[in-house]
Amino acid sequence: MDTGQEGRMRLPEESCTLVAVGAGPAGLCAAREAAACGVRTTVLDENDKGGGQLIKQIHRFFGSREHGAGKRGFEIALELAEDCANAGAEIRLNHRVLGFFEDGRLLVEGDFIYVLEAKAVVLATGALERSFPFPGWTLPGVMGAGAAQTLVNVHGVLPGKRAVLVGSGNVGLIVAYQLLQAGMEVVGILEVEDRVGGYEVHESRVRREGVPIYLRHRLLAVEGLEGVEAVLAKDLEKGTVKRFHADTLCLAVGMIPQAELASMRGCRMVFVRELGGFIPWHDGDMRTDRPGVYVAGDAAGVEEASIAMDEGRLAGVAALEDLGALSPNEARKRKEELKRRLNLLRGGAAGRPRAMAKERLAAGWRHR
Amino acid sequence: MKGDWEKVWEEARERPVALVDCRQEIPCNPCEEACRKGAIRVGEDLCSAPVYDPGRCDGCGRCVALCPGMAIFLLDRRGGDGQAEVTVPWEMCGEIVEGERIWAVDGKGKVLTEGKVVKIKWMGGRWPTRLVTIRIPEERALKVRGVRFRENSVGSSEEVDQEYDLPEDYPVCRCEDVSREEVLKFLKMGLRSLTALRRSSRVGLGYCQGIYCQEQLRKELGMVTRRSEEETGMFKVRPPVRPVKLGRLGGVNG
Amino acid sequence: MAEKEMRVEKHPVLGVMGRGRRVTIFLDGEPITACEGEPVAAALYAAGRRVTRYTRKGHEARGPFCMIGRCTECSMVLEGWGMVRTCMTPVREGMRIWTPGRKGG
Repeated sequence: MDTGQEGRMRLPEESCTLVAVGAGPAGLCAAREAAACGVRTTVLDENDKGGGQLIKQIHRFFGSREHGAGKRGFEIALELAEDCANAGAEIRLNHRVLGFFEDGRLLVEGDFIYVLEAKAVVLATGALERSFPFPGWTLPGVMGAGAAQTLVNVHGVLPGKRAVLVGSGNVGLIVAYQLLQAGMEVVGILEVEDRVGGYEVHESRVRREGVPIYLRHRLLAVEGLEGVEAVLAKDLEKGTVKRFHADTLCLAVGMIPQAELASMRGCRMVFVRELGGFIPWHDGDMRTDRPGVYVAGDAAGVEEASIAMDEGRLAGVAALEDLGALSPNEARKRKEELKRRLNLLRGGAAGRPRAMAKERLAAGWRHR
Repeated sequence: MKGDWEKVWEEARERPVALVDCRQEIPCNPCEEACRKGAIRVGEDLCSAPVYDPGRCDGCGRCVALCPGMAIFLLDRRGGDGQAEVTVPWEMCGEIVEGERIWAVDGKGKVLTEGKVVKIKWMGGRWPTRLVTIRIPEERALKVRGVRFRENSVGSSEEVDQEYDLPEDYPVCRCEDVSREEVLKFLKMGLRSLTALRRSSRVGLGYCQGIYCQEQLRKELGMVTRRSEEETGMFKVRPPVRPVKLGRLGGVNG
Repeated sequence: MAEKEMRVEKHPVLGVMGRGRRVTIFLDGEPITACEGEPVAAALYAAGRRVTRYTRKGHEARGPFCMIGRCTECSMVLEGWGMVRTCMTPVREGMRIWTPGRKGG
């Protein structure tokens, strides 16, 4: 398909003022800001539930009151979706965005395919679980840690009986714990580094359950015929190879921002290692280099859900400001408050490199 | 922190008292709000570790239930008989009942002692957490971070021969089933860009549009060309970015 | 792996997990019990089936990988429609699913 041929396709056309792509924490918060200000707002999401990946999070969340801290992820998802709808935004679930063209129009598939035109588009398309190829990685039973989490926490189905996790970051630790909660055995967590990547408190939770964390162990291969039967890892200290009997291997080795739509729209993409890879360049208010296109949440750099919420709000406020729906003064006040909160959320040792990367972006980005 | 725990130990003679074991910089403060007595303070800087005054704690247990890190516990030494009651948050599968014996473990999962479950209480919102209270010898009480009644699969691995032969070839691109060797072959032939690789080997041409394989391809390309990830760039994204039934695009809707 | 063992009966946080009505779907012609509304991929997992397709080149088994509609490894043929991502396709009574690339099917 070619944008030049659109005219001939005779697809139904629609317009609205602000569109958020993705009904996760960032998209919902951006849309809520806009709708609460009286702007005609639509949220598009390909899933049948709003809340993005929060719906599979059953643990209580870090953050502050503004981020629903202390509540469980799926609870926060419900509240955000409700707030957004109550503010007057239209949330269209089961709607897939197929394209975002340089003339600013979105191609959407719902019950039928249509073209949606908006003055402001907030891309809040989230992230994807990182993976890497190794012998056996295509066997059924090898999956993202988040995929296993979706199965157990959203659908109540176990991916298997015995799991090995790869990566001891917060995701690996939390998912290991949640697989145990659902009744699976966790054979171990493999970590190539010499220390655990995630927070001490999360590490302690899985250790209390007796789950071994194998530091300095590199995943070598997965064995099996039509599914995972064993996992091989190399002990980098001793040089020996261990075989773990398991039917499931979960990869928790990071996330990649998902901003294909920004790239298709022609936004300048920059590679920022601290934020997970290629992201649309954006200023301190979440504007990309294309007018009327904003980005927020993991699509703007992989961070946490609480940050996604405040980035979404920031993108919403910036869009309102550009649309003239907010006075410059009011917009400045709100942005300052949100930026203050974002700085606090990125305050710890884990957050500082991300805070610096975002600052470098806002200051203009150069090849180093 | 040590001073804190001495104070907790003393106060626990009078009433149950919280033991806050949170030292890392984590952007988190629900404990502050959970405490009605103002005994836990995080303050403006969300990432600072909580400052806790055991003297103000009334042992209500709300912080134990609400701490996202499950890093707060209760200590109660009122019995004065060399035994202590320790309360831990618990969200594991399986049933736990009052009266049963259970292991008390430390923060590393090491079994400290066996104790008896004396109380189970649900707390913390619509999807609450169980607060499990166990009775154990008091000299172990400050170290308890959890309870467990099953052995996990420790020791379920076996050493294999060091000369283990790894399969050398495996797919890089899942959708189009392009193997690493094929990619290397094209690199050897002199292809130097993602687009060229995609055209010749079909790598990244599948439904997923190369979102899974392109990182690896950038790495392989970078090794040959010494170009950075940013210079190597990304696969060009083409609509539709999600699979669509054939015929639905092109005007025939419905 | 029996279905009963693969479905979480009682969850320590979520309690008894809500599920749709029990229905039958057909995998390569064979009846499988599933719950209405759950993704086909989850129903297959619950039935202990984790192969969703075989590759054309090497005839290798593949299964769900991302569970959020991105990797398309779980794509199967839904009779009367075409290829679908089974992790995003809800179970409806009587639906017939075919494993692409399956030999002797």
